Amino acid sequence: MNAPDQKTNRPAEEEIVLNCRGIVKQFPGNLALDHVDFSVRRGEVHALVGQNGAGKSTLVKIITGVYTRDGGVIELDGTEMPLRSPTEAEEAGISIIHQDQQLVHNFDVKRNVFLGREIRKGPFLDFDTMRKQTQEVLDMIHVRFGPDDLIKTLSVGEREQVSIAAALLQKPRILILDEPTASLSLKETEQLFQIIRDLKSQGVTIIYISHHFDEIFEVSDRITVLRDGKSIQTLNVKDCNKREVIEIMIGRNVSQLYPKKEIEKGETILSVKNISLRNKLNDVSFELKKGEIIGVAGILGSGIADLANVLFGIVRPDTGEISVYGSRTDIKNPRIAKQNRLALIPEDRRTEGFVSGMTVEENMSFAFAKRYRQGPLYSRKKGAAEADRIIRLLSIKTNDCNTMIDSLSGGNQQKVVIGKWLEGDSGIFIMNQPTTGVDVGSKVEIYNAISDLVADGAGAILISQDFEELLGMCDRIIVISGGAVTKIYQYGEAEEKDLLHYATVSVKAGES
Amino acid sequence: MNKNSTKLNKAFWEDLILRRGTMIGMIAIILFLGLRAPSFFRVKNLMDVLKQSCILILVAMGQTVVLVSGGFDMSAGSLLQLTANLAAGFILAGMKTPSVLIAGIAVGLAVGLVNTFFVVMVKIPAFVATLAMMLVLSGVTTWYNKGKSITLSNEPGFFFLGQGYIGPIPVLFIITVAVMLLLHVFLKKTKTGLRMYSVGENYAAAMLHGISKKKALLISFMLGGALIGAAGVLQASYSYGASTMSTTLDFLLQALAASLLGTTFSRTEELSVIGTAISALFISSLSSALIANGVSNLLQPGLLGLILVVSVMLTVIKKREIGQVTIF
Repeated sequence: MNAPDQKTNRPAEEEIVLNCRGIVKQFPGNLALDHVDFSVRRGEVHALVGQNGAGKSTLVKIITGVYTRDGGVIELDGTEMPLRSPTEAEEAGISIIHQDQQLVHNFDVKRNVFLGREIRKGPFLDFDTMRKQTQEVLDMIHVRFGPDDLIKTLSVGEREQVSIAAALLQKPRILILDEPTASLSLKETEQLFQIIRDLKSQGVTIIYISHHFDEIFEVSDRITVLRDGKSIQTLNVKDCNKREVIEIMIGRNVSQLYPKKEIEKGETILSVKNISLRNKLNDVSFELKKGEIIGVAGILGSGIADLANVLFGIVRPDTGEISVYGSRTDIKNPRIAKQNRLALIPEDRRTEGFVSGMTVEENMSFAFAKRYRQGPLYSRKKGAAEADRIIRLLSIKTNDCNTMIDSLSGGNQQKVVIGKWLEGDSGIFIMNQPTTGVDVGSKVEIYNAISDLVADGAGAILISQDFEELLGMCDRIIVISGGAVTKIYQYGEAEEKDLLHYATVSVKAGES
Repeated sequence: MNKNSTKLNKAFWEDLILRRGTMIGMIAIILFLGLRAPSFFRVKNLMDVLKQSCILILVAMGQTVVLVSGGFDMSAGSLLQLTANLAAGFILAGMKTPSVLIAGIAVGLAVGLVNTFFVVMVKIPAFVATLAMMLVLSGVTTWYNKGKSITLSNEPGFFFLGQGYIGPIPVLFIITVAVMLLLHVFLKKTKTGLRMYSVGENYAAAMLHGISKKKALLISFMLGGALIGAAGVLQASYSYGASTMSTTLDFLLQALAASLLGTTFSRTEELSVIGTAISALFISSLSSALIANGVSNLLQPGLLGLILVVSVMLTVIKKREIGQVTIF
């Protein structure tokens, strides 16, 4: 195993550390990787992008020895490697930090970092040595906690740093980060990037997997694009732009990444006046018209998620009033919200949006099951007919309505969650981060679905941390920071940096 | 940095108060009841109380070892009953004390193995699998003793284990403390112990670190079984054989209560054999102290239920605070 040592301080431009040539992986009925070439230079940050199903995770699993390849050659520093098991890959100096890095919350940092490869002195654990070595890797990434701190006392971002420390302990030549920022706040993401830059300067080679192009362009040197199991192109970040990469990735010209339609605005359907919620929201007011998409921009913890909860009756505000379709309504609970034609697309579709282990039809019909009665019983036939209609309407990719929802892609699952509300006569859609964790292609389809909804006379509130999609899709954008509205933009008025500015401007809580 | 350390300090004190809080509550209750019944605090009586508590402490530690890996053992009480009966029968049949002890441990290991098989290989939830085991073991016990008590007399060698004293200290208590210390070192200071905890706390994390759940549960059930099997033998020695009076459920519930109450001693709400042992000692002395105060035996199950609810409540509230949801 090679420590990141002095001689690698100045990475030679053309020195290839990992070279994959002609990698083939065949699954039953599916050629997952079709002669993929992928080469990584020493000391670079190399982004790997592609839509879900393009073969990113299969390729990573082959590099980390989880899958065995059916063809092709992998060379590490010019030596051919079989990489038949995760242990072999680890010994070869390849470490991965998974998307949902799991830690034992009741253990301290050193126990977590060493879990599975504990150091022993005789029959007992050697905590002193483990503490010392943990401190060494923690020093490498400049963290604010120590080896003896319990995981449960750390923030989400710090927990991610623990995972990185655990990977660094193995002195990897190549460190793979799989969607590392999925649950991080902006500030934590910034810290992660600093760590990545530090590691890079210490000679560690990094493979970075992400759906977020802003991050990729900020932190990486080169990008390899996979599509349909093939390696399409490797680009220098300096010589390309975001749109270019997206087009290569989805393999067609995105004339309109954001399919915003020109829609005539109707009467006001939702009016929110002076909503406050202790420590969360401060005097928020806005109106939503028929045919309108309103964006709510804010960072993690700014109160944007609480706004969704208030609108759908999950949390009751302390003060303020809400009028729905012209009449003042006390939305006490989600049932009343539903009766008033409100619909919620929740933030976490996996736990709140759909029921895993049920079919597409069952998931679509339970919100309005009453409508499909035959006598006192639920009628499968009526439910299925309606489900089929919505599958066609939103062009949901599924075999039929009896397919288990779990087997659908993330974007299509989200469309089922949206479609569920179409069976009722919902007219006000509250969407809390509907495109989190879905790839670009699916995003476009979700945007299309939203556009169709409002064209049909609905109104939508799009709550998001992805400012680019707000700028692309929304007629108006309300920026929230510290629970208060800091700025309102009309379509076309703002740029991403403006939103970011007003989303991070500090507002004293409790001030009105 | 400074701000950080004062924050930690505060958390440390809060934790300490919570830990000591349970302890202070326990001592206060026993003091209150003990002082009202003057004979309670005589050395001889205290030693009796200690001696009386030992079987429960051993069973509770057996339960704790299973809970550590995320298991659950409903069969603990009936395994105790079975090996107590077997031990009494074997002694009557003329077997020597060491052989009887080994037999008890062997039965416990076998039961642990079967439990592991159903939980790990057949993947039946531990609660259900061990519940079935509880019924099977009770059946075997009744079949073995034909519904009659097995009473022992004049077995000084065997009785020494459960009734003897070294100086003023009961032999049974010395055994119990030794077992507790060994288990504590095993669970907290060895690789295997750490891995068992990790499986029980967060299986997904353990798996990603290449740790085997099967192995952890196997060790848990086998170790717990061996411990309770041996406790049954000691029980027979302590109470002159085996009675037909069913204490199976009492032991099970008290052992569970002790394990859960024991977690409130730990900074991290972790199961620990020392916390379990102290809690079991408390539960057992509470019974004695109540009897010394003239509280009817008939009230005891109700009070036990109360202790169980309070101990589970303390655990659940604390766990919810840190965002963990328990099955209870």
